[in-house]
Amino acid sequence: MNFLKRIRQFLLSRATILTLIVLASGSMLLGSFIPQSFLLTPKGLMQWHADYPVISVVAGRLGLQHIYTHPIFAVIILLASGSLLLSCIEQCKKAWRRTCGEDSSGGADAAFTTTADPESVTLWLRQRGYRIVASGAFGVRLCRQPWGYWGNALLHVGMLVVIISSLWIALTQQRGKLHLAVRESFRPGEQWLSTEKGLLAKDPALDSPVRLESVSYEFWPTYGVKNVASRLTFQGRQNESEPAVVEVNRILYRHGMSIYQTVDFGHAFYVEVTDPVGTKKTYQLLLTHPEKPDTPSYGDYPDMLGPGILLRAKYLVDPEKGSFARGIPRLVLRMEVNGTSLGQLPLAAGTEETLGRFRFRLIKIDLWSGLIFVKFYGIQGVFFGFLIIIIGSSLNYFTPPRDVLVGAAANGKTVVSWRASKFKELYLDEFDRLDEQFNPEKTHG
Amino acid sequence: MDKTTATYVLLNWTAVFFYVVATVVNVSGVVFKKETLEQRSYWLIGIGMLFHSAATAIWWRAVGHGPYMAPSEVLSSNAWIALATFFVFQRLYPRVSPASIFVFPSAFLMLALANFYNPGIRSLPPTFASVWLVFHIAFYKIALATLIIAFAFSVFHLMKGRSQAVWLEKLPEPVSIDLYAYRFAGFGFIFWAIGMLAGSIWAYKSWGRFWGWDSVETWSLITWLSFGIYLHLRRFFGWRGDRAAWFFIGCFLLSLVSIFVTSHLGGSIHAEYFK
Repeated sequence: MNFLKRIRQFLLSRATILTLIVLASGSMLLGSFIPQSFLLTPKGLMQWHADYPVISVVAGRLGLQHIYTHPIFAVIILLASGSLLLSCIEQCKKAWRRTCGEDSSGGADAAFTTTADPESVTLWLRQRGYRIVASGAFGVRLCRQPWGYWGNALLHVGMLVVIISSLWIALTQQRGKLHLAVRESFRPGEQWLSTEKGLLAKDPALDSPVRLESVSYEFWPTYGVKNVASRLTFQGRQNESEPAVVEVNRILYRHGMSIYQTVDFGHAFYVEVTDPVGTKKTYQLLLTHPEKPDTPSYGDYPDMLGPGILLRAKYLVDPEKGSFARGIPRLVLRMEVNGTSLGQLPLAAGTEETLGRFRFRLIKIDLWSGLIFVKFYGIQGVFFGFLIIIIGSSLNYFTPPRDVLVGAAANGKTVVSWRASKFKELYLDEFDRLDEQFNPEKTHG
Repeated sequence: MDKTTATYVLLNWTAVFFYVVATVVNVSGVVFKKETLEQRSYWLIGIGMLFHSAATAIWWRAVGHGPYMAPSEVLSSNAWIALATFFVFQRLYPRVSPASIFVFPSAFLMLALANFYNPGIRSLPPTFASVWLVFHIAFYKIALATLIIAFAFSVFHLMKGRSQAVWLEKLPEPVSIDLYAYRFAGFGFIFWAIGMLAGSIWAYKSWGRFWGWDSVETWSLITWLSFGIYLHLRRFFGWRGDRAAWFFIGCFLLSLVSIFVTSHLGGSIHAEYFK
């Protein structure tokens, strides 16, 4: 029992709480200076290692490149959650006592005695927004904005709800990303472009095939992307087709999965390549839509055709470079073998050309777009927790409660004591008005 | 420069002119304890805000989105919201008035700086077309305004303890100044939290994640926690006076880094603003 009591005391200690906040902030600070592996591409990570060899060795040994999944960070969050939980219980008990009981937030900030009877003082106070919260042998306790006592409790409950919900999401979320070309399907069990999953979660899985039927997009007059939308078809359990549309900022919900349209889209070039021994193979080159009509979009395909061979592709939506409206894209391929350029090759749909020892034929061009499939539970908890934090902190700083205790003094007079839970100097004029009302001689004398 | 851009720039510079004059008049009013001058500075700021509002409205209509994409739009709206927030709080708490000697110069500096950027038309990326983005940005701007007021009171507290200048006598007692700093830091803490909440809802609606440890998000959380530490130190460890004021100034500088510096870092979705 003693041990448990000590743990409780330790977790509720103000120094512990402050230390935990400082440690959590410090970890995040470190995480913002040391690039986190989950935020970087493998290429970016290698570049960082090359740029900062010493720091990267230290960071690697200490596990600083995955700080948010580091055991020490987990311990900090665990202790912070334990501390918050106990603190919430304490704060709620305290708020309940202060809202409904005799217990105000401590002694009086100011007091006076008056010959007026307690009832008239109470009535005057009630007319000015004070509510009776308790009465008994001690007298009458009135409070203005008593809900302010719940501010701290709610602030801490909210933080706890956010932390628990976020941890739940982090442990159980499933997330898969796809780049699909028009008329292409993705079936359950197939390889995603990339996935993310929580420690307790399996790989994301679709329950039925999905096919991309079409992609539509709009541009602003300045050529910035205005909107992207994909028309999809899901194959139902009885083989029926279920059409659906997903667009940026319009989430598609299906069988517990949220589907997001990304802003990634462009043209998919299907290129048939005949290698030096006559083997034919078709490759799908997904190139991102250019940002401007006169600026090509590029893609690199190292080792796709064999070791040491780099195939580079670029395309313009309109070969005349005039606008995005004329959608007859022109693909240009360039080949490099062991760093030496072998030349480049413009390809229009249906044409066939030779580059190096390979023959290239552009079979067809379609559109493609990026989709994200997400499955997680607990997001409502995060947002609800945030809402509680905001309500709690608003009660705390906008509505500090003011208490008045009206009791009988031994000499037959009435004792009036006043206290503000916070910022008392800013509310002392309330006490002054009360004093002035019931002690006019003192005020004018 | 086309006609709309020329009008926008001209109106903004006119607003800067009024803000500068208002600042000079206001500082004179506060320093020489002349109530009339102080009152007149509010009128001048009001006239400046009319020009500023007209510029914002014209530009909003021209670009088709609110003032939150290009650097000039961001700084200009920061200045406008700082002034508007100051006047709202000044009506609620008249003793906040002396903070004007920090709020007015901040506003004209932000607007003047905005005018040095090219006010090119930035189209709105599709993920930015969300009402949650508007709340997200608006609440960070309100938070910044309240933090400027808290900063002003922290500085007043430090000055009052170190200088015998006559104009400082006009300010409330050190205890009240300290409390105003504390209270406005609390308001900043709330508005910062609302900004983060709105941002996480926006991110969830747009990308299916509410938090991505993006550099701006991380620094924003660190700043919020640092204000949490400040409030804890005041509430539970009895920090007040100079010590609390210095700590708050540190937190305020951190908030400036979070708002104005981290969003320029590459690899952040927030960097879209400043590209």
